[in-house]
Amino acid sequence: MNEKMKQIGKFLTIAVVMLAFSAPAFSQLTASATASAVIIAPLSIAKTIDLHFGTAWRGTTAGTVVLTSGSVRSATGGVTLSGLAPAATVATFTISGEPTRAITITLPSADVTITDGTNNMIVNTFESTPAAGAYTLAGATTTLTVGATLNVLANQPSGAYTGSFNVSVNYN
Amino acid sequence: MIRLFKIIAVSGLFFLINLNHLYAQVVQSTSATGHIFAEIIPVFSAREIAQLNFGRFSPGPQGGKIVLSPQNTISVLGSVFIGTGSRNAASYYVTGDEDASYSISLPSGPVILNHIANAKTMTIDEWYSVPAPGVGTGMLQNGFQVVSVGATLNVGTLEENPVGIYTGTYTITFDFN
Repeated sequence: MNEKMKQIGKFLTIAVVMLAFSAPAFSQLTASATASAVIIAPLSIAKTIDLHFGTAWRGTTAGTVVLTSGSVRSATGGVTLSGLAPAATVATFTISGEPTRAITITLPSADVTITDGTNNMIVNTFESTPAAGAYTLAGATTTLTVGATLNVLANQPSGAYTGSFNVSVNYN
Repeated sequence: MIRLFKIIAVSGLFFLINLNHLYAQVVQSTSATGHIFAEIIPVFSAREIAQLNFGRFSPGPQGGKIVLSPQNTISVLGSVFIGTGSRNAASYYVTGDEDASYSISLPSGPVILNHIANAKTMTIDEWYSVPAPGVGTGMLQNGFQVVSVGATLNVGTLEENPVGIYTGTYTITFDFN
């Protein structure tokens, strides 16, 4: 009897020890998870060439100088284009970002005023290649050209006019 | 013992949660500033309002010169006899911005006049103008100015310059800076 009791006592002792060891194993086996993250290149835009409408003869009636993002310059109304220096240039920007990502290109929607210090002119109707709005980045860098319309008043005082505008991009 | 361990192993369930599509979304906006330039230039123009005309004259035996000043006065050197009729210096009407200055360039070499019916020629040189030629000598005080131009006509003998009409062209340059 005593001998049997001792044997049971030993067995119980071993069993308790085993449970004590196995308890931590339970808590480690609750779940196995896979976490993922995608790193994409930051989006940036930098100007490389400013927008220059070139030179134009003013007229006795109002008119415009239109410079398309494709570098085509034309005049309307009383304005006559001049070939004198400085030459016209479309604005050029470099967009850097993650290829295949969709972005939005935003051009100025309001009128931009340019001035010679005393007199002003309005620049508006900005347009670009690729066009403003949604665009999918093809490569690591994309060249964006921007054109606009210069509004020249009748008898606009002669002079060199300057101003600035913003182009912004963001990931969709 | 062995049986108990087996139970523990079986109860260890795997919960596979696929998080592959939980991208870290980046919302980023960035902008760049471009400058705009435009240059408006005045309508600068010049037109001839009077042609240079030495008028009528007769060559003498040795020939000579007819000097026509920008102020329209005429003087003769050598054997040339002035006839009747009108003669006048050339004049140009220059327009542009008020108070703008400009440059005047006259012909640098002699200009040849050709007889309208034969190969005989005369030359014109010693060009003068009012305002004087040079850089920035012209001034559009009220947005315009009249430039007068005179010169000297070299006349040969009657044999060299027979009777007839002699004509030619020359270039005068007004340069708006």
